[in-house]
Amino acid sequence: MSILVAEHLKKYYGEGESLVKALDDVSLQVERGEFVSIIGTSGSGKSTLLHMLGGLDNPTEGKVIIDDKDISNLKGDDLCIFRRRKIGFIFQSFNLVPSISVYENIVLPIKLDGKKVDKEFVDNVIETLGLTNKLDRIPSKLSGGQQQRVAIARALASKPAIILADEPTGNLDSKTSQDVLGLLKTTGKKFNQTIVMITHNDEIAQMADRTIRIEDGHIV
Amino acid sequence: MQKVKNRKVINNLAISGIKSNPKKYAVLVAAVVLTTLLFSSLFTVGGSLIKEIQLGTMRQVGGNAHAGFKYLSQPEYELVKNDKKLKEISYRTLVGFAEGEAFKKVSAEVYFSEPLEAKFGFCYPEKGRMPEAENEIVTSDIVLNKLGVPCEIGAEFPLTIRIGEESVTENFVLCGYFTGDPISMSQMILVSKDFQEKYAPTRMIPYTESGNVNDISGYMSVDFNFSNSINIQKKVQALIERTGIRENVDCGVNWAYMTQSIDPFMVAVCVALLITFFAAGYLIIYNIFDINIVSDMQEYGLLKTVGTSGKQLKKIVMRRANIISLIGIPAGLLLGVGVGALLLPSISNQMNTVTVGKGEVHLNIWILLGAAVFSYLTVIISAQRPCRKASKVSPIETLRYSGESNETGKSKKKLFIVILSLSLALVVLNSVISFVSSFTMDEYIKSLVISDFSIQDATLDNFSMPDHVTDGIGQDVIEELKALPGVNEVGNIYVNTTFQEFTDESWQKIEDNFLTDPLVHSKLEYQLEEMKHWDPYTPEDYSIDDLLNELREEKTLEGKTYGMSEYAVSKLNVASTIDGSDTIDWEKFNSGDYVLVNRWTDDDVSFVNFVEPGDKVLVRSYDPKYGEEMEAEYEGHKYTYISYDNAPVKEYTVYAVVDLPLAIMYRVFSTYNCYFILPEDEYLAVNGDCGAMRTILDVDDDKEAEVEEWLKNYTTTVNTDLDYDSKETVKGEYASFNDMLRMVGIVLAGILGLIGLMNFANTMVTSIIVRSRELAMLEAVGMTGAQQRHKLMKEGLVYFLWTAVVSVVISSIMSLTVIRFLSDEFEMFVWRFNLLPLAVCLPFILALIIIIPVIAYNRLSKRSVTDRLRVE
Repeated sequence: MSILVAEHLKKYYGEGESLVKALDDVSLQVERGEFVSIIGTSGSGKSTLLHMLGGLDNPTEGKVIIDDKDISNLKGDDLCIFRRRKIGFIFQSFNLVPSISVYENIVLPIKLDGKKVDKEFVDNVIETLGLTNKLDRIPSKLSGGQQQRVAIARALASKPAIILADEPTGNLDSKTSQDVLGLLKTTGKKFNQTIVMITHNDEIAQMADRTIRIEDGHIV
Repeated sequence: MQKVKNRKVINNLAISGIKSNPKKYAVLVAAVVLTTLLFSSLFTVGGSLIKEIQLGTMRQVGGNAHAGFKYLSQPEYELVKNDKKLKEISYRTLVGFAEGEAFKKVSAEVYFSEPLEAKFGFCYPEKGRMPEAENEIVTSDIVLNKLGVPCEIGAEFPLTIRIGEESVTENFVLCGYFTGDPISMSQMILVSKDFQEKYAPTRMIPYTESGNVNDISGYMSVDFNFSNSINIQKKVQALIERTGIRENVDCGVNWAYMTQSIDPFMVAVCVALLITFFAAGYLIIYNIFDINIVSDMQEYGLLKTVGTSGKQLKKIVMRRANIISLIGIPAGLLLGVGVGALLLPSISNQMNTVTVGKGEVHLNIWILLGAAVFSYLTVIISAQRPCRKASKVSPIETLRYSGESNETGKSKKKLFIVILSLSLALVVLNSVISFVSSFTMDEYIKSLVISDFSIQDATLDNFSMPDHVTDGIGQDVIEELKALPGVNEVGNIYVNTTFQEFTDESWQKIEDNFLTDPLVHSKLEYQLEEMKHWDPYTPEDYSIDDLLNELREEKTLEGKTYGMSEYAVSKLNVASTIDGSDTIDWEKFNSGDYVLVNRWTDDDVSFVNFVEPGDKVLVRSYDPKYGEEMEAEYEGHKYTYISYDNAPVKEYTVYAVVDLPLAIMYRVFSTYNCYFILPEDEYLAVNGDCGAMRTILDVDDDKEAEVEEWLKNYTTTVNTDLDYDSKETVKGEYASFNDMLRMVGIVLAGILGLIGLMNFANTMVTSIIVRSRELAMLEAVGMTGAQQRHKLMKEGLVYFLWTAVVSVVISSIMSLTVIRFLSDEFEMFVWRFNLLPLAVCLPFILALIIIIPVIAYNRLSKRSVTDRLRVE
């Protein structure tokens, strides 16, 4: 069964002469537990696609169905609540909250939802990602690789339906990139997580189970 | 050339920075506008009041020229007329003095005057023109009213003028009139040159050689202006030497231009206000600049990487400060003058300045310049530190600068500044309102009104009048008052200003006890300083011993003798009596052997007795029938005076030592203020029948309105020389004084509050903008709008809690120190600890502090999350 379905997604910006078709009729499906990479050059529409899939933005036309729920028509706080329950995000620039500790960052989405933290599961994630000794630090005291591992932990901690990773290694050197990706892949398998990753790097894309190429807003 | 090019680039950078961020700089401009508004309203009010006081003096003096010569002959005038250092010169020639029933209370002098001189003397016709034909005349509405002539050009009336030794009566035609000033010492009547030459031809022989100093008609009064009013005295002296006019010429420098002694209390208030305004301005401008620079850091870093020096960066920041000032200060000046003009009338009404044109705004370039300079200095000083910060940061660091590093330290400082800014307004508001509310009606009324009504001559309590009538209430008036229905008690108070005499025994006691008292001594020392400062005839080496020696020789103390009827005596505060009781037995006092004597005080707190009950004092009769006309000579001038040296003197025993309430006194004071009080009948027996100075009434409560109505009618239509005070009018005065303080306080606190809130809003909004990515990211991971608003409200709450704590603590300290001290200074204020204004204001502040971040957030969240995430 597909955990993520996108049907005829379109995202247009501007009007008339200056109309930009960032996404033009994109359809795709991702199965539960799959690790899919979406590859494309800068400006190909891959980030826009990810934003649509993650409910950060609404498409001009088309549908996004996650875990049997059509999110294309969700707005504002409903969308936001859906996001924190079903989607884990990993950003290129980590996007950790600077003023709170590593542990608080990891459990933030769960706490925001007012739920109890599954201590055993979160500890397992933290240990898998090698963050056990760093929990009390604040993010700015960590290296880039470590910060991204915190972001991965945060994405996993709320047991989302799907993890969306936007150029997760974009700010890291190649050695660290390999480590972080290795961890992302192994933890994904271990916790049976579905992962959709965006990248412009072929080599990194190859680490996924399946690669989707996007150019000028179309899947090729 | 290099420099010129460089300046252009810097200008461009400075302006483009502002253009790319107009909102941020608009807030900054608004801050400068508000700061300037504060300064310029203070300067407008202060400057106008000073000008008003100056004008008041000029009106009293009767002219605005810098200085003048009196009693010049034509040839003498020719000597000074063309002096090159004089900016303007003009003259008037005395014809004589107006005579007749109408001029008993208002004296009027008749002159031929040049137009410029008429302008100097505030008597240039407002309607009509200067006299030309022989029978044409110009005068003030006051004179016309007194004469019963309508204020109409062409009105004809006869006027008697005393010219020298004789009187001339002629018919005149009114060709112009002006608004007279009741506080002027003398009213002006202007006639034509022809009339003057006919009856009082211009003198050709100097005054000193005329042989008759009493005839001054035909002499010229010459007034002139120098290019500026600095050191006029010296300039006049130089003029006399330069022109060779006689050494002993009568010359006068306009007092209005003399350095006035400045009230230290007012200076303290002004300095406190200046500091408060500066602090308010600094807190917001510094904060905004600092926030701006934090968010501009990347721009500065970029400029630095491409080779802009720290110095140039500083210049860019300063250039921006200048541009902001250029827009903000003129706008603030305009608004401030408006606010000042709004406040001025109610402030001016509380002060004894002028009677005509009260509350008018007097603007001059110095007032505006002063306000502008203060505002500009505030901007520059506020920009100083942020400016240094911008120039110092290394390019690499700046590029990474996001305002997020050192987050806690930075926000703490910001928190501190915003809290101070908000608290400043609250503390000022609380202090002003608690000061105003410590004003107790009861105390104030007790000191000024001790009876339901007080009737006296209108001039008596009017301190802007040169002369006070102290016997305005005739026996006929007293009889009428007694007959009024509802009047229970009538208390008459008579007064005579004199030198008090004592028996040798009593005088010895005064020398031994009173004159040696340290309190009296320090007052005398102060008095001596004042004398040396004001009276040019006091020798430099005149010492306190000289003063005391003179007193010992004279054996008199300057003071007043009062006559009082029973009701008035019942209002005296008895300190000690001859029989140990604490009340005065009227029957005994009224026997004619006794007198009451007051105690000496300088502050109404500590008292020194002149004499004790049982001592003997002397009262001399000032009955006109004992007055002898005497001739005397002073520096060659003969004059006459009335001597009472041979009048009978009666000895009295001091019955009691008392204090007089201000309400029944003749409120003119000097050094000793030694008062003897005789019973009414005894006073009249000694001094002959005369009018009372003041009459106080006790009236049935239900008849008060009727009596007031009667008095109002009586003093406005029947006997217009009289005036009355009632508890109600005093209450009205109290209310208007209170309103003034309250209004000024609220406007002040309102502006300061606006600054504080703006500072808070700006800090919050900027911090929300700076953190927009962080907020977007939180939203991305699932923090809902409601949760984010909640978070921001909580942050606002921290500001509020701190503001509440700081303002309560500082307000309490202020209330316990400054307000308490001020309240103790003025007897009508009774200090009370008061934080009620804060309690009323804080909920509003709380609401605003919680609402502002939410509004800011709502505006921010209009942009999509993805948009905000992209912003680096």
